[in-house]
Formats: sequence, C-alpha cells, structure tokens
Amino acid sequence: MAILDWIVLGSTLLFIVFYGVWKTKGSNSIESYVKGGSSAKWWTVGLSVMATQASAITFLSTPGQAYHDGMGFVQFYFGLPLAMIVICAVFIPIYHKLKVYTAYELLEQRFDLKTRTLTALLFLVQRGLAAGITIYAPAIILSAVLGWDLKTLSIIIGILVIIYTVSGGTSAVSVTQKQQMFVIMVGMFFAFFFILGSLPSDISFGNSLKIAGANEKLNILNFDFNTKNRYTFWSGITGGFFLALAYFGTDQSQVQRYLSGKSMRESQLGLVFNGLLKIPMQFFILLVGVMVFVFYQYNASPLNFNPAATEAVLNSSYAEDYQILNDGHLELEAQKKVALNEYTSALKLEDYGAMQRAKMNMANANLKERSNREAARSLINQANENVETNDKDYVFIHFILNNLPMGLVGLLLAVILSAAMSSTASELNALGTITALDLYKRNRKGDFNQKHYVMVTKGFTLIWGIIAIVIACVASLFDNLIQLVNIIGSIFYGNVLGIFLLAFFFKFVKGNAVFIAALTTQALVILSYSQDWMSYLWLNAFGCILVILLALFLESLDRIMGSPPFKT
Amino acid sequence: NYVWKKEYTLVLLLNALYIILFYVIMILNN
Repeated sequence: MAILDWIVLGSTLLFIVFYGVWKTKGSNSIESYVKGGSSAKWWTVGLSVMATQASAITFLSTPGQAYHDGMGFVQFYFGLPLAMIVICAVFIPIYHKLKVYTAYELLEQRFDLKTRTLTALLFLVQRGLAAGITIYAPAIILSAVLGWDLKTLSIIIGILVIIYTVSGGTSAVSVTQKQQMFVIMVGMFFAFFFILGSLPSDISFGNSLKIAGANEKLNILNFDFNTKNRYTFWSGITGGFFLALAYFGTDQSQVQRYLSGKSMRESQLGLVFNGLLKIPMQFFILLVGVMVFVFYQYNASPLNFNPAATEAVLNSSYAEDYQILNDGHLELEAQKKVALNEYTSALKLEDYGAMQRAKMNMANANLKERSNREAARSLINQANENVETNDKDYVFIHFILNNLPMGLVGLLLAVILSAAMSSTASELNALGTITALDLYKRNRKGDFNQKHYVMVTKGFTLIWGIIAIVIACVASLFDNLIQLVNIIGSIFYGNVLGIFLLAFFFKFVKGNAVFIAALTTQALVILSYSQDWMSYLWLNAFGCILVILLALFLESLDRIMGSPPFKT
Repeated sequence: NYVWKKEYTLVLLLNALYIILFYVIMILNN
C-alpha cells in the first residue's frame, strides 16, 4: 500500500459517507426516514437493489471461483430474472396497494398479528447474524493479506456505515449506494483493462478467450440433470429462482429498497433494471476472474493464494514436504507455458491438429496441477486445521496487491469496502425499521408523534450496527460461521416465502392455519437439517412447499370439521 | 393486480439472448 493508495481509498470512502450524511439530513417523519419520502426513481431503486445484493464477497470470491472452476457459477443467477417478474407482477402491486412500510406488515393485514411478529423475529435473527458476517468476511481476508488488525477493521467498516445509515435512513442508504456502485464499476473496468494490457503483446482479448476455453474455464452452460453438479442450467432456474424470490420478495433489506420508489411503476422498473443487468454484471465479474487466470498462465502464481495458509505450513514440521510440492508446482507451470506457447503458435497458423495436441498437453498439466494444489491443501490442513485452505477468496486480492499499479490498488480496495458498506447499510436500515415498526410501534400503547418514532428507529438502527460489529469481532472464535449464516438463511427463508405465497395466492387460508403450519414447518426443517435428511441447499424449497401444503390441509380440515380445533 | 407488462417480456427476451450469447462464446472457444 503506497501513500497514493491510502489517499484514494480514504478519500473515496469518507466522501461517500459524509456526502450521504449531508445530502439526507433532517428526516423528521417515518415516511421520509423509512421510505425515503417515497421519491426514488427507477434507476435509484435498481442500483440500490443491486448494491444491496453485491457484498464484498461478491468481488473477492467470484473472480477466484472463475479462476479455479470457470464461469459455470453464472448459471446460479438464471432464476433471478424470473423472480423479478413474479415480484413485479404479484408482490409489488399488493405492497403498494396496502401502503405498507415493512413486508411483514402485510401479513398482519392478510392473516394476524402473531404471523407478522413470527416472520419479523425470524428476519431479525437471520439478518442480524448476516449483517455481522457481511462485515467479517471481507475483514478477515483483508486482514490476512494486508496485515491489518481484524477487529479494528471490522469496527471501522461498522462505524462508517452507522454514521450515514443512522443519520439519514433509507435516503442516505440509496444516495450512497449510487456512488458505491459507480466506484465498484469503475474499479472493476480498470482492473479488467489493466489485465488485458498486461498480457503479452501478441495475445488479444479474443486469444485470451481461446486460452481460457482451452483450459476449460469457459464451460458457461451445463445442461446435465445430475443433481450432484451444484451449478447447472436447471439448478439455476429452479433453486436460483426460489432463492431470489425469497430474498428479493420477502427480505426487508431488499423490500425496503423498492418500497422507496416514487410509484408502483418506478418500483417495478427498478426490479426490471435488476433483472436485465444482474446476469451481465455477474458474467463480467467472472470474466475478470478468467482473465486473472490467463494472466497467471504467463506469470508465476503461488501454490496457495492464502498467505496465512502458506505461512502456517512453512512454520510447521511439514515445511520440507510443502517445498517439494512447490518445486513440482514450478515445474508444472513451466510445462503449461510450453504447451500454451505451442497452442498460441498453432492458433496463429490455424493448425487445428497442433492445437488439439497442445490442448491435450494443457489438460494433462492442469490435471496434475489440480492434484498438486489439492495435496498442498491437505498438507496445510495437517499443519494447522484452523487455517482456510480453500483459497478462492484470496486469488483476486493477491492479484490486486501484487500486480496493479499504485493508486489502482487503493481504488480496488475501495471497491471491496464500498461493496461491504452498501450491503451492511441496507441490512442495518432494515433491521432498525423492523424492530421499530413491527415490534416496538405495533405493541406500544399510547400515541406518540412522528419525531418520536424516527428517533426510536434511529436508536434501533444504531443498536443493530453495534451488534453487527460485535458479531464481526467474535466471529473468528467460531468454526465456519459464514457457512452457518447460509444454513440459517436456508432454514428460515423457505418457510417465510411459503407464508407470503399463501397470502398472495390462497385467499381462503386464514391466520391460524398459517401460524400452526409455519411453526410445524420450522420445527420439521430444523429437524431435517439436524438429522441430515437433505443438503441445506434444498431446505429452502422443502420449507416453502411444506408450509403451503400444511396450511392448505389445516384450513380444509378446519372447514370440514366446522372450525373448533384451531381457534385460539 | 397481476398485470403482464411489456417490460417483463423484455426481461425474458434479453435474458434468453444472454444465454444464447453464452452458448456461442462457449462453442467458439472450446
């Protein structure tokens, strides 16, 4: 980190924070603090929705995913545009018609107070934990590669977000997200063109795609019906659809973005914008990762990209074994380079026979390299089982710190921290709103003025910000907390989505049947996870379908029996 | 409620186009 990098990083982040505070001061009604005065245009809604979903991990992990496994991950997003259409056509008209401030308020109008309170509490548990992880995930990676103190970094990210989110509410979140998205896109474009410029002069963009394809990094689409492949076209349009529907349709951190739209149409167009741009954006981030792969075909790469992992093994009794693997790695890189030069020469001469032979040589070298890296990972694990051996989160940041010129390093760090802040801001904003409106205001006796509720919402937003910082600071004490958050998401999401679908599509089902079905489903989903009946990735669909079937069964039974069993 | 709008058709068509484009990129570079 040069001084110029510090200046670029510091000035970018501080400008966004203080511009957000200055631009949105003086919210004195719940309407302006929670819905941003319902004045957002469609592009603000769209950018806000995209910035909320794109966290630091999107920019750290996705390029590394492409580096190791190619671009198949883009298929995970194929269900998202379909979910956007369903939300625009079904969810938004009802949210707007009932003029709700929170997603769960709708459930009271449709069912009853206990269903609203249950879903609000499920949201707070899940999103409260996730907000801590949104800060922790980039903090642990940046602290490992830059030597910064993990807790200090977590506290700084948290405080920067708290400053503008508490002060300006939803308006401040959307004002800053527009600037954060601008920084993110500019930074990623600079990185992309820098990589292209760093390749040998005779390697064009077209050639680099050919090289990536020859190394099996451009297998974008997979139409296999095998459920063991995590990312296929089919898993994308089914599992990805369910997940996107639950996340964008029922998670307040997203719902609050589009409820701030000036009209129903502006909200809908905002989500259409997201449905049109999300897949190209993810494709571009993955393409940056593939270009990093091509770059490392011409430049030396480490055996493992996580410096903490390398340090752990080199300071252990396995150092000698690791050195042998590293020598093998250098030899393989030399072999790959020979095969690569054969391939690019054959490409220029359009000698397809020689191209096929070179491709075979590259495939063999890649296979050996894969098993060599695998052996290195298991050696690191033996040396220290607490260190992260899967280095996909470290590939892009390693490339940034070791290859980008002065100034651009600071800009790319601003990209990563902006992404962390934009997601955290939406989460804290939603957590504060739900606590203040669904729990405090709904159950509070007496009449208070708007100013009181704005102050209360600010207070709860601040408290959730502090909780998120505390979670980020203690997260390293727990094993694999990041996966735990994903699992908790899967445990609750399906159930909540099912409740909303019941509200929209099954008008005859009433509150008691839904509430009992929801509690039963939640217990069964937790049981099926603890008994390992299915992978946690399927819990979403399981919970959603189960709660709908149970509620339909209970309501029908209730009507046939003439009602006594479920009256409370 | 539940009105189909031309923007939704645009979302479907453009995303179908992206997938076709991905397929072409995949075929041309393999």
